[in-house]
Amino acid sequence: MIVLDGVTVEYSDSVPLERVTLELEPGCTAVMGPSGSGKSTLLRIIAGQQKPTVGAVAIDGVAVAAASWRSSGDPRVALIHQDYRLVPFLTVEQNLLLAAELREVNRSAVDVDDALDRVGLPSAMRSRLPRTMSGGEQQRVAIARALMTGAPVVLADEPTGALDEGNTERITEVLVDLGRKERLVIVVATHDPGVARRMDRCLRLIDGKLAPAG
Amino acid sequence: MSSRVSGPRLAWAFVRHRQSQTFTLFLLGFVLASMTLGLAAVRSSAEHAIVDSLRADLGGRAYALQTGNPAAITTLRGLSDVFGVQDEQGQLTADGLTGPVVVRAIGQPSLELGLLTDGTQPRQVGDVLLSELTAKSLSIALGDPVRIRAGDLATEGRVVGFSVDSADEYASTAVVLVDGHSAQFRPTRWLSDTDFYQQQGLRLPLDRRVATYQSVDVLLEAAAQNRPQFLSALRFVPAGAGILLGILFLAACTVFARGWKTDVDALLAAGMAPARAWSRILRIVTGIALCGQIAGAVAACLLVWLFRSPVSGWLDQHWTGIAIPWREPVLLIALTIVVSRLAIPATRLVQRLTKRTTASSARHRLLPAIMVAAGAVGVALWIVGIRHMLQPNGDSDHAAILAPIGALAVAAAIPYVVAPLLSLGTPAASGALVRYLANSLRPIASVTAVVVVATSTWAATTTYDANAGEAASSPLQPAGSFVISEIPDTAVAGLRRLYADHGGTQVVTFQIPDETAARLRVTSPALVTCMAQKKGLSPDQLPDSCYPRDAAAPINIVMLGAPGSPQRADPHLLSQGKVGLMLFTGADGTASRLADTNAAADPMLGGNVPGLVVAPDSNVAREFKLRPGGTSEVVLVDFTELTPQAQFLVRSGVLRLAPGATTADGTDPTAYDRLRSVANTVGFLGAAAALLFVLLGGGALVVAHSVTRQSLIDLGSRSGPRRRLASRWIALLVISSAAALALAILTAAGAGRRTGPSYGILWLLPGSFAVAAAFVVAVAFLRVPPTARE
Repeated sequence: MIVLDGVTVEYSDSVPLERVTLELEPGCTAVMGPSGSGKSTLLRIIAGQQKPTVGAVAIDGVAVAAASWRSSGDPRVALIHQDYRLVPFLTVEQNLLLAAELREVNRSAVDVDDALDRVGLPSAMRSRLPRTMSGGEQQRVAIARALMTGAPVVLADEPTGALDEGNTERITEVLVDLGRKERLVIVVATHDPGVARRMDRCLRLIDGKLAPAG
Repeated sequence: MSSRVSGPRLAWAFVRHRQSQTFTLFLLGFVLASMTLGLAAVRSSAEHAIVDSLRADLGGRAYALQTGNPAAITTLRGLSDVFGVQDEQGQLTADGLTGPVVVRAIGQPSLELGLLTDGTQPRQVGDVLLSELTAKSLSIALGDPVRIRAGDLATEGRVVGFSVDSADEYASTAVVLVDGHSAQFRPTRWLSDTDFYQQQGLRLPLDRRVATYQSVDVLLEAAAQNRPQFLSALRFVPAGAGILLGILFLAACTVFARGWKTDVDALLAAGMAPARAWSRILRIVTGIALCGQIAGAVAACLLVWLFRSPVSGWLDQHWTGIAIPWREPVLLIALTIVVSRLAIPATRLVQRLTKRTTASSARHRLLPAIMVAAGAVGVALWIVGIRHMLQPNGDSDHAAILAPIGALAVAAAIPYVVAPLLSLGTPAASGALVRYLANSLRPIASVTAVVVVATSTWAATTTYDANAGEAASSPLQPAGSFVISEIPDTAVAGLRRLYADHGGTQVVTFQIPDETAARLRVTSPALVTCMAQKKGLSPDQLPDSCYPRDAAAPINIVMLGAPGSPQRADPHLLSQGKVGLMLFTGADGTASRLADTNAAADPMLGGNVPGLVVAPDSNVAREFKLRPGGTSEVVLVDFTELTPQAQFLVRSGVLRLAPGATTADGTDPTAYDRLRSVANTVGFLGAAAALLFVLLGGGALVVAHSVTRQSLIDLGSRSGPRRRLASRWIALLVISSAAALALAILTAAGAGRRTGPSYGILWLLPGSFAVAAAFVVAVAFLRVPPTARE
């Protein structure tokens, strides 16, 4: 379980998050809100990639490890970006294995096939380079990469923002399955009400403050 | 190969993915190393050839002595480890064909002269080691009989070996072994591994300077200094090529860094820490550059070695091998590694600054005001400094240093003053865009302006000081001449022939008097009067006002001219047709007698040349017992009219003919030349630094403004308005650099106080390079940016 306790993020000219207190259980949670409302900041705070000005974040009672020049952040969290950020010069299989290696998780080719299968991609794609794949396929590889790390928390920042309707449906399906069947903590920042409706829970951020979803 | 993706497989995948970048970096590394090392190898090989040539000519011995003194020669003949060499211009005849050669007669077979290329060294009387060129010209083969004639020496022998002179492709020499006890063998120089001064019998002639000697190390140093013109010109070329190509290499890396940032972001998304991701990418890039450099270095050395004959031929030399310089490649590789290691903290710093820029916009709003205030203080300091430069007595005091300090502050502030003015007269939205773009350019323009002011002021001031100092002082010797002092009288004829063979026509000789008992010196009559009035006979105790101001040598030596010739003196020592004379008999520096004598002015005299020349049969010579001491001073008056190669060969010849002589070259770098060299170097370094700042900083901004540039195109902006926008943006750099140049020359000139001597032109380089680089950045700004997607 993720616990945010009175988290505030303050810049000299804005306050993207203000006194946010929140508990996130295993399952799927959507975070909605207009641009600049603090959705991405919230995800970065949970991933340990940004320190709150005030407050604390913990996963299962243990404070989130902060990212630094020499550390990539908390290993219990995997982050999925809108622009996929697959390593362009590695194949799908290498992208997946690299993520596991960097978290020091033992994974094999069978695990790669399994991860691809879980996101609905054929194992024949394992030797493809990212640039030869469609946006939807690349995003599913990015989710598979998150699964390879074995992280219990998966954060997705606008994962369907650049995808068409069909691919949005597929990606949403994969994320919902991971939350419901595999009991991972899935947090999805999205503008898409359709995606949010499929989630177990929906939070709304307005001017950095948390409001119940309407 | 490791199965781990994060190991070498990652590096290999990166190289395949970034093929064009890999090729470009490899190629740049290759060109950088091959140019730098290739040129350095040519320079190094040519320098080694000169040293090898001299070493071979001295038979590898440690000391060389010359004398015409009969007592010294008798002592030398009695020493066991001393080898005599007789050098003469002569002729060699074989099978009816005759050619001119320098004949080197030796008396012992254990003395091996020259670089042997075929056959053996002379072992028996009559054996001849002949230079390859002569052998080829006269169709002589090993074992052929030859006849040699040089002065009184006439001998017949057999060619047993061929040699080359690595420093002179056209050298024509014949080393012949003769009977060391024959009357015909009269050595002109002696070689030994033992210090001649350790020989009891030689101390007196050496002390009396009727015999002179040098260690071979000193001669080798002189030979190393005696670079032909092309070698002097080549001296800084490898470093210059390295700097220019290094800038190109860094510029390429800056452009490629945008792609690497994308790769690093992807690695971060995969869970890699920033330090590790950047380190990995930079290590791969460094590896590619080093591979290119190593390949380039090997290729350059191989090419120079393979083509050593034509390359050394272009330089009129004859290399038997090449000398690989180790300093340049080691420096290049070390610099590459250091720069790549520095790139990681620099990247971190940039990331921190980027974050801080977002967080401290308020502080950034204050910065222009602070800079403008600093500029105002700078103007005040500059005015105070200039006022102190303009002291009525013409001497500036310590407060004059405030002028350059103030100029630096003003230079730093110029972009912050100019930036708001760039948007004047533009529509509101365009004005906002110009201000936005100019704000990011201000720090780069500021640093560039500071570099321009610092280096241009330094270059201009130093050049001015050198030119002014040189104009105010008299020359040390006739312009364009070469002076050889303490050459044995016996070697003077050989030197005249050598000089004439290379096209020289004007030779003046003065005999140096024997100064064993007393030393006669010439000075101005005023100084002699001062000494008489002060009752003190040591010139050291006299005030500066007693000394003649314009003379290069206020107290100079007296030498002997031709019998019956009139007395001539340094014009700067003459007063009403007279010069003063001082006789020193002791070692305490006190004159034992003062006198004066009439003399005619001779502009050639003074400085390194004697201050007074008298005939051996003159009253002065008789009165002060001036007698020839066995050595002379020779002035080769039209030396610089010889070709550079002939000048080099004459200097080399002097080292061989008269190893104990001291030389002074009218073309040698004087202190003023060195000052000008420093100024020129500062000018070039300033230009390179300004170029680097503008290209790298401006290039980085062009990349950083990709979205803005793309947006301008997406908005349908025509090329005209975009060009005007880029012009206004880049005008900040152009105006700042031009203003900095004006400020620099105004400061160097003391706001017009200093006139007359030239400031040179190299002070213009830093600002000019900055302006030129600014236009390159403007062109880059106007290019359509690539899409963000890889």
